[in-house]
Amino acid sequence: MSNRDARHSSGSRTLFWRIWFRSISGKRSQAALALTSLLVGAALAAALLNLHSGIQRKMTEEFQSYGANVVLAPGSAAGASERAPLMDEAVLERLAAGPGRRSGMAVAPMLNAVMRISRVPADPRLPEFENVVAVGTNFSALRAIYPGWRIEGSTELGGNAACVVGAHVARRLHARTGDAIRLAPDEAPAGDATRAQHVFPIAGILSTGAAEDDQVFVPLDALQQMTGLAGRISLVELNVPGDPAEIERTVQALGKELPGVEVRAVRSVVESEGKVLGTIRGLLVSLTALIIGIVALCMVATMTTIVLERKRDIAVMKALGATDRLIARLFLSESAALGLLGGLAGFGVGFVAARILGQRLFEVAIGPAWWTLPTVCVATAALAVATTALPVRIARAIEPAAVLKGE
Amino acid sequence: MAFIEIDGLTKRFNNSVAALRGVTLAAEKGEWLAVMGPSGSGKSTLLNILGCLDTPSEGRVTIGGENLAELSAGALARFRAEKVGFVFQQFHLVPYLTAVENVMLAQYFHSLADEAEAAEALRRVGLGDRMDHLPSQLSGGEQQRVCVARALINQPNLILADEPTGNLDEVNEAIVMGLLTELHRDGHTIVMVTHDPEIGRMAERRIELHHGRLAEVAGLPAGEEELIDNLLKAVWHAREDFRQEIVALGNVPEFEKNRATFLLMEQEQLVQFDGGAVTLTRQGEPRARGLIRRHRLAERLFSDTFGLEESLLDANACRIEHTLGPEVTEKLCTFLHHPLTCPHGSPIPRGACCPAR
Repeated sequence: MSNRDARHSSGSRTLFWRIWFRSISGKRSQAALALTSLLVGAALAAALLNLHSGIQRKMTEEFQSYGANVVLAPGSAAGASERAPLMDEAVLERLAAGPGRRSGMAVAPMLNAVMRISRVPADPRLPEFENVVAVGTNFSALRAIYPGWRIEGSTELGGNAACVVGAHVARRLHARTGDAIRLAPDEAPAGDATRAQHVFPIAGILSTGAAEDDQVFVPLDALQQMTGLAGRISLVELNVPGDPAEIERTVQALGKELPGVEVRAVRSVVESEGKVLGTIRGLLVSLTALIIGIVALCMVATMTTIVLERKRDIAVMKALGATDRLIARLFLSESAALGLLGGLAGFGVGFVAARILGQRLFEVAIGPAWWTLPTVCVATAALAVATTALPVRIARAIEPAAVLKGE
Repeated sequence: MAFIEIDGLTKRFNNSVAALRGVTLAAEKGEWLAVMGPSGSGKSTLLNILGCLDTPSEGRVTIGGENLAELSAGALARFRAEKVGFVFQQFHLVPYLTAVENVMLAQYFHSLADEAEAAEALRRVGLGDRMDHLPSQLSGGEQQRVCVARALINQPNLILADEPTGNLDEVNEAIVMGLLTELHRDGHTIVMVTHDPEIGRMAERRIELHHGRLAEVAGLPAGEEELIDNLLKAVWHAREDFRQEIVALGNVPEFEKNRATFLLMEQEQLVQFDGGAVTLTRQGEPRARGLIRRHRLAERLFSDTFGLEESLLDANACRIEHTLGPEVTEKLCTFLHHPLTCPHGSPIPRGACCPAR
């Protein structure tokens, strides 16, 4: 390209943008109206998207406090000869090493056994013993899965030394924190005194309002030793972070990684979470669609006004040899730029609105969901361009002879 | 083949009202044609069709060998950009672009915009110092000059001017018509719509439209005998001033403003053009001689007989000269004793009554 051609080409590009800029700045009120409607639409969309993102995160956190959302249980083939199916504790190591392991995932192995419990020292007013479900576990991990549990005292079981007693059990035994209980197998094997019984000081008293109030939680190793089930566990409870879809993906991954182990989602938690999030999403999508519809109508009206007001200029351009394509390009680029500008400003306004609404209505601290910035900008520009299609048709249909004659 | 060929052109609006009815016309390359006629006669419609802004209902229009009916919408846009320059009565500048940008606009639609070339075009029309002004900051005449610069920037073959001086005062009218004259001299074909006979006379040829029909092509327009007489006198004066039988057109100031009338006078064999010069023909010479003789004898009468001041002689002579028939003129000459010069000293052509020298 010669210097002259380059200069000409650059002059043409410059002129296109000069026309573009002057036509926008020359019709400030219409451009401002179009920009405002796009900004409002973008702001509402950005607010709803940010709000949705924040609420989703908050809801996920809330649902995670409800407890385990995934359970690993012995497969159908495992422990067919045992009274209750058990699985090998090695599953924990495979779980820790496998790719299905996700950061923030809480894991609590559990061994359930029916044991005889009695108070230490014995209370003459009470029966000699009663049967109770003892749960051998890592109580700190279990506590991380169930952060909503109320515990009086400590959750540290101190190696194999202490236990946490369910509130009902504690009430029946007139036991308090600092007292002790004795656990013994329901059917004690003869001649095995160490396995026969074990005294545990009560570190804490658990109150959940559910079945856990009638259980006793002891260290996993201790219960395995007492029951002669070393290296065996009943199930593993997991709390997988993420939304229902992410949880489902984790379940699928773990199912492949751990053959012989039944991996299942706790449907009540996952489905409830999914349902609530689905409702919120539906509401926000409906609102966004409504807003887009209103903004689209507003844009069509504004751009049509702009085209009609510039009818004479369009006619002059056509008389000078402008093609319909070039006229269309001029208007579409104008609206695309307005869309990008509106999207950018709308994102800022929308984010601030989402932050205020999130705090006031949902008590959620909304952080910027940066993925919504390009989404909002591109969507607003696309909306602006799409809504200019009708005005562009009007511009293409302008007959220069009639317009320049003053008809 | 003529540059513009129009054959049986009819234009109907809404399938009923006919703005043009079977117009047939041809114009050569480089010709300056004035389309005249009253309002609603179809002048602008004809111009719009020539500029590809409108399409014929019937008939054929060919410009530069291209049949406009065969061109697609895109090709018509290209044709407009490359081969046609418009000068509008209402100027039709884009209001939010500066003068130079308005000129660049035509370049942009043609091919590529070049600000330096656009600026040069504005300098050519005398607007070198108004380039960055918006149309609203320019006078009507200046706006029309921008319009002319815009029309000429792509060197189009055809310039279409629709009442180019319709909204201008006399000074700006002269400037704009001067620019059109220059363009014509440069070889551009000009088709100009006007209802002003004076403006129309500047073209080489005039056509008149009445109710969409071509009412008259060429021929001496009625009521222009006096103008022709004045132009013959102008040639005579130039001949006297420069002491040449054949006078350069540049030495006849009236020529530029009365081009069409001069060409009609040529058709009537009153004058003859030879390159850039003009001479009186056998018919033109005695007519001019008679006119000059009557006028100067009338001046001598007012001066010698009535003692009128010198400054009043010409105007009064003009008033009566047309009333003097040949017989009265000869009697007047005899009455004044066959004077040799007028009161200003210019020679009075000899008549049949005058004694031989």
